[in-house]
Amino acid sequence: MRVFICQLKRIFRAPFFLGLLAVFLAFDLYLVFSEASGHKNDWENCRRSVNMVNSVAEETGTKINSTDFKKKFAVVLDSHKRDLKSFYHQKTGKESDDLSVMLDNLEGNIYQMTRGEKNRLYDDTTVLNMENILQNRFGVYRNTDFKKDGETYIHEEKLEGFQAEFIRKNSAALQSRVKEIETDGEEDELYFPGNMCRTHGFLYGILFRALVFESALLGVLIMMYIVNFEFMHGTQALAYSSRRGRKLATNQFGAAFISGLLVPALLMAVVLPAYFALFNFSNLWNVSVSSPLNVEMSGIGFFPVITWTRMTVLQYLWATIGIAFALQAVFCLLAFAVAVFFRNNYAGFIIYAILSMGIIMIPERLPWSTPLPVITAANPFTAWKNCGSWLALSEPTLTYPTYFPVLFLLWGAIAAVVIFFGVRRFRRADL
Amino acid sequence: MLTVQNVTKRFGSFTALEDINLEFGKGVYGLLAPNGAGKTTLMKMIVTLLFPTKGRILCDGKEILSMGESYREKIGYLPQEFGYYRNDSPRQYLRYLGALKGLERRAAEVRIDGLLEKVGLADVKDKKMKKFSGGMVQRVGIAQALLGNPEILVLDEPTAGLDPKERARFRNLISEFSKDRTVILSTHIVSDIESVANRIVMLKDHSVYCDTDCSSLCGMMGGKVFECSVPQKDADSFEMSHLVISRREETGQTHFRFAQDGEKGLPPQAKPVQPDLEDVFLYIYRED
Amino acid sequence: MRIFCQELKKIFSWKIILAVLAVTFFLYSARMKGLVWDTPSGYTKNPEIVVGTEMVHKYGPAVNKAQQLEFAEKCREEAAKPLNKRISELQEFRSAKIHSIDEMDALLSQNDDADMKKYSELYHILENSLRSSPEGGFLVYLLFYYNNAKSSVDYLQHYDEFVKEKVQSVPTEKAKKRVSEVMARPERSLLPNVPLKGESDGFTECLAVILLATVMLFIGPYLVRENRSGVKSIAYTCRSGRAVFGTQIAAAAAAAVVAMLVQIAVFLAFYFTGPHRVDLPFFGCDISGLYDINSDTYWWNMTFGQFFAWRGLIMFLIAFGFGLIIFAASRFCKNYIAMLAVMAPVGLAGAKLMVWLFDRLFSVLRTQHIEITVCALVVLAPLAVCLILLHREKTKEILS
Repeated sequence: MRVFICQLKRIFRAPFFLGLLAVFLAFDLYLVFSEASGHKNDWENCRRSVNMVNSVAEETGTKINSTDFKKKFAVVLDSHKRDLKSFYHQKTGKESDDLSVMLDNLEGNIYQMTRGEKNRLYDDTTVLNMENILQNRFGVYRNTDFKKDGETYIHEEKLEGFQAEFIRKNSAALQSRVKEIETDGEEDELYFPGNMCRTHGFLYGILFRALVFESALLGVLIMMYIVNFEFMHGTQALAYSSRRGRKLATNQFGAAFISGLLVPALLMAVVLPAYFALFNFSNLWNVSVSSPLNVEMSGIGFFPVITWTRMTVLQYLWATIGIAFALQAVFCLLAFAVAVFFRNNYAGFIIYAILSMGIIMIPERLPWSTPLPVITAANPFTAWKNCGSWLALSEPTLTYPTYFPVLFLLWGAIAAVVIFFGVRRFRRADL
Repeated sequence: MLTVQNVTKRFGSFTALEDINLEFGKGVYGLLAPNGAGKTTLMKMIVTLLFPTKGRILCDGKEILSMGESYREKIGYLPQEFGYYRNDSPRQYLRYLGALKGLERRAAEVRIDGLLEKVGLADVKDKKMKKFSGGMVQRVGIAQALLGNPEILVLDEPTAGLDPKERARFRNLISEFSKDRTVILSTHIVSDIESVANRIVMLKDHSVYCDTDCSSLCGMMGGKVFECSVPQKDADSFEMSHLVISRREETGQTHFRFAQDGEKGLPPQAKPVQPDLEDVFLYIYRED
Repeated sequence: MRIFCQELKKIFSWKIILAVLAVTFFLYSARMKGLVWDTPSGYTKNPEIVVGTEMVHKYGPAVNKAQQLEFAEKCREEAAKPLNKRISELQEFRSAKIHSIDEMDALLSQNDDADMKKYSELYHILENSLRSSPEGGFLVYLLFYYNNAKSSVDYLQHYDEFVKEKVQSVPTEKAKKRVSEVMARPERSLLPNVPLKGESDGFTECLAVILLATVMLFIGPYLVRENRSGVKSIAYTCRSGRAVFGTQIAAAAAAAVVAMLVQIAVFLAFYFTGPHRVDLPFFGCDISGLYDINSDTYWWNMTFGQFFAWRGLIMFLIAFGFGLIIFAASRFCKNYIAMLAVMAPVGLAGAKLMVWLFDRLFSVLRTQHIEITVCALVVLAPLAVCLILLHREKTKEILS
C-alpha cells in the first residue's frame, strides 16, 4: 500500500499534471462562459433562450399536448407579443402587428442596442419561435421513413450480404423507435429547441467532447510517465532489484489507472456545475431527450436526436458521464499497453496518436460486404469523435444499440491481450 | 600557465571554495580531496562552466572569461558524469564534438581514428554507444577530451569504471600527453595520481591545504606510519584507539597499518614503514 | 556551418520524419480527399467553374451587369442540362407532363397546395433517382448546383435590395463604407464562391494543422533530447562554447522553415494537378466575387491569387511562431512527458488560432489589420524569448 501511495504522490506532485489540469479547467470554463455570454453572434443568445424555455416550463409544465399547457403557453406567448410590440414602438416609434416585420427591423438595429435591450429581444424571440416550433414538431419524424431511407442507401451503395442486413435491421429498429416516440408521449414533451438553444450540441458535442479528449490526453501522459518513471530517471536497476522487484509495475499501473480515472472526475466536478449554474435545466430534467424539439443543424442537414430507448435528460447525462469514465479506462489501458513496449515516452505518445488516427479511419476503408466496418467502428476513438450522438442515431451505417457494450468488450479484450504480452515481456526483459 | 588568483565560489550562503591561489604549469597535477571539498567546482570554473564569486582565473596573464573562444580552444574537459547520445557511435559522437571544437573535417577524422585506436575502441567505432559497457563509455570520454589536442586537459574522475589494465593504459596515455602540456586530474584512486602526478594539490576546509610534489607530501608523514599484528580478540579495541589505514585478517592475528604522531602509546611490535599517498590522505582528512 | 548541419541532422531524425509522414498521410486521407480525388459530379463539374472559366477567357477577370446576368443564366442552363436529361428518362415526370427542371420549379411559384405537394413528390423522385444512379450517388449534387444557380439569378435581378441588407448587417461605419464601395462597382469579379469558401476552407484548416503538427513534431523533442543527454557540459567547454545554443535556435528555425516548405510544396502539387487545377483561371480575379452577398466583403483589394498566397504566408508564420514557442518551452523540459504536456495545449491553441483567423480572413466583419497584428505577435514574441534565453545562456552556470 505504501508503494502504491508513493506512486500516487509522484503523479499528483508532477508539474505537468497540475499544469495541464489547470489549463484544461480554464479552457472548459472559457467554453462554458463563452457560450453563456452569447458573444459569437449578436442575433441570438443560447443561454437566455435556455433559461427562458426553462422558465416557460415552470409556468406551463412539459406536456405540450395537454390543455393546461396550451392555455398557459398562450398566456405567456401573448405577454411576450405585447412586450415585443411595446419594444418595437420604443425603438422605432412605429406600431405594427406583423411579427416578422417587427423582428426584422429590430434585428437590423441590433448593433445599436444595449445589453439589456438585446436580452429583452432574445427572450421575446425565444417564446415567439417556440410557438412555430411546437406547432411544426410533428414534421420532424412523420416526414421521415427510416426504413425507406435505409433501402435507398443500400441501393445507392450497392450493398449486399451482412452490411445490407445490418442497415435494414438498424433502419427497422429506428422506425419502430420513432413509432414508440409518437405513441408513448415523447413526441409531446417540451425540450430546449435545438436551433435556438443548442443545448445538446454544445453540452455533449462540444463540452463533453473536450472533457473526454482532455481526460484521455492527461490519462495517457500519466500512464506513460509512471510506467517509465524508473527508466526516465535511470533508477531501474535499484527499483527492480528491490524486494518488490518487477511487481512494482503493478503498483505503478494501479496508481496511474486510478489517477487517470480521477482526471475526468475532477474536470467534471468543476465544469458541469458551472454549466448548470448558467444554463438552468431545473424544470426539464425528466423530459425525454428524444423530444422532436431536440433537432439541431448537423453536417449537411437538421438531424433529430433519437436515443435507442427512452431516456430523460438526467438519465442521458448520467449515461454520458458513465460512458466517459468507461472510455477513459480504455484509453488508460491502451496507454499502458503502449508504454510497456515503448520506453521512450515521446515515441510511445506518437505511436499512440498515429494508432488512434488509423483506428478512426479503418472502418471507412474496409469492405462493406463483411461485418468488419461495423466491428471496427466500435472503438474508443471513433466514439470520442461521435460524442454528442452517444446512445442515439448518428451514422445509420455504423451505430447500433449494442455499440458501447461491443466497444468495451472488444477493446478491453484487446488491451488485456496486449498488456498480457507486454507484462510477460517485461518480466523476462534484461534491464 | 594557468593561474587561479584569489578565487572564491559561493552558492547562496554556502561557500564551496575560499580564496584559492594556485598556479598550473606544464605537467600533471593531481587534485586530491574528499567528496564535497570543491574539486569539481574548481575544475568547472577552470573550464568556464561556473563563474567565480570573487577572484579570477588567468591563462598566460589574460582572464579566461574574456578570452572566449581562444581559451576554450586550448582546453579538453572530461566531466565526472558526462553525457552522450545513446544512438550515436563513438565516431559520430566524436565527429560532432570535433565540429564543436572547431577541428577541420579531414583532420578530425584522422584524429578520431587515432584516438579510438589509442583508447582501444577501434573495433567498435561504428557501434552504438548504448551497447557499450561503462568502461567503454569512459574511454570515449577520454578520447573526446583529447580530441582537440588541448594544451590544458581537465579530467574529473577519469578512471571511474576502468579495470586495472585500462587504468594502466590511461596512465601511460596521460604521461605521454603531459609533455609540454598541463593536465589537471582529480581521482579517488590515489594510486593513479601517485604514479603520474608531478604535483599534488590538496584541498581542505574549502581552501588549498598543500601544493607540493608526491615525495615531499609523503615525506611529511615520515616516521608516522607503522605496521603491526595484534591478536584478533584485541583488534577492535586497537582500531578504536589508533588511526587505522588498513586492516587484514590472518590466522589468529589481525594485521594493521596505522598512522600515529609520536611514539606515545605505540605498541612494542609496531614497525615504521615508508608512507604512501593513501596514508597521507587518510591522515590529513582523519577528522572529516 | 558544420555545427549547424550537425544540429539539423539531429532534428531531422528518420524516426520523426516517419511520424510526420504518417500524420500527414492520415490528415490527407481524412480531410483532403477533395483536393486529391475528383468525382463524377464533383468540383470540376460545378457549373460556376465550367461557365466561369469560359467567361474569364472571353471577357477577362471582371464583368459588367449584362455579362453578370449572362453568367448566372448560363450557370443555370449548364446545371439544368443533366437534370433535364434525367427527367426525360423518368416515367413519373412524363405522366405528370413535366419535361424540364424549370417546369418543375414553376409548380412552386403557383402557391397552390396541390402544386406544392406535386413538386415535393417529384423532387423526391428525382433526388432518389440521382442517388441511385449507376455513376454514383454524387449526382445528387447536380440538384444543389441548379438551386444555387437559380438563386444567383434571382440575386442579380434584385441586387440593390440585397446590397441594402448587406450594408445593414455589418457592425461598424468604416465597414459599411467599404461594403458600399465594393458593392457599387460597375464591373464585378468573375470569381465563383467555391474556390474561396466551401472546400477551400477544409483545405486551409487541414493544411494549417499539418504545418503546425510538422513543426512541433520536429522541434518538440530536440532540446529535451539535449537536456537529457547531458552533453552540454562538454559542448559548452568546446571552442564554440555557449554560442552553440544560438546555432541550435537557428537550426530549429531553419528546420521548421524547410519542413513547412516541403509540406506546402506537396499541397501545391496536389492543388495544381488535382481537381482544383480548374481554379487557375480565376487567380487573376478580385476576391470580392460575383455573389458577394452571401460571402464576406474584404478590407483590401486583391486578386484570388494574392489572397491564396497571403493565406499560405499567414499559416506559415503562425506555425513558425508556435514552433518557436515550443522550442523555448522545451528548453525547460527535463523529460518528454513535460514537453508533451506543453506541446498539447500549445498545439491546440495554435490550431484554434488558425481556424479562428481563417474563418473570416481580411473580412470587414473583423477589425482591420488584425491578421498582421496576430502574425507579428506570434512570430516576434517567441523570437524575443529565444533571444533572451540565448543571452541568459551566456552567463548560466552549468551545474550538471
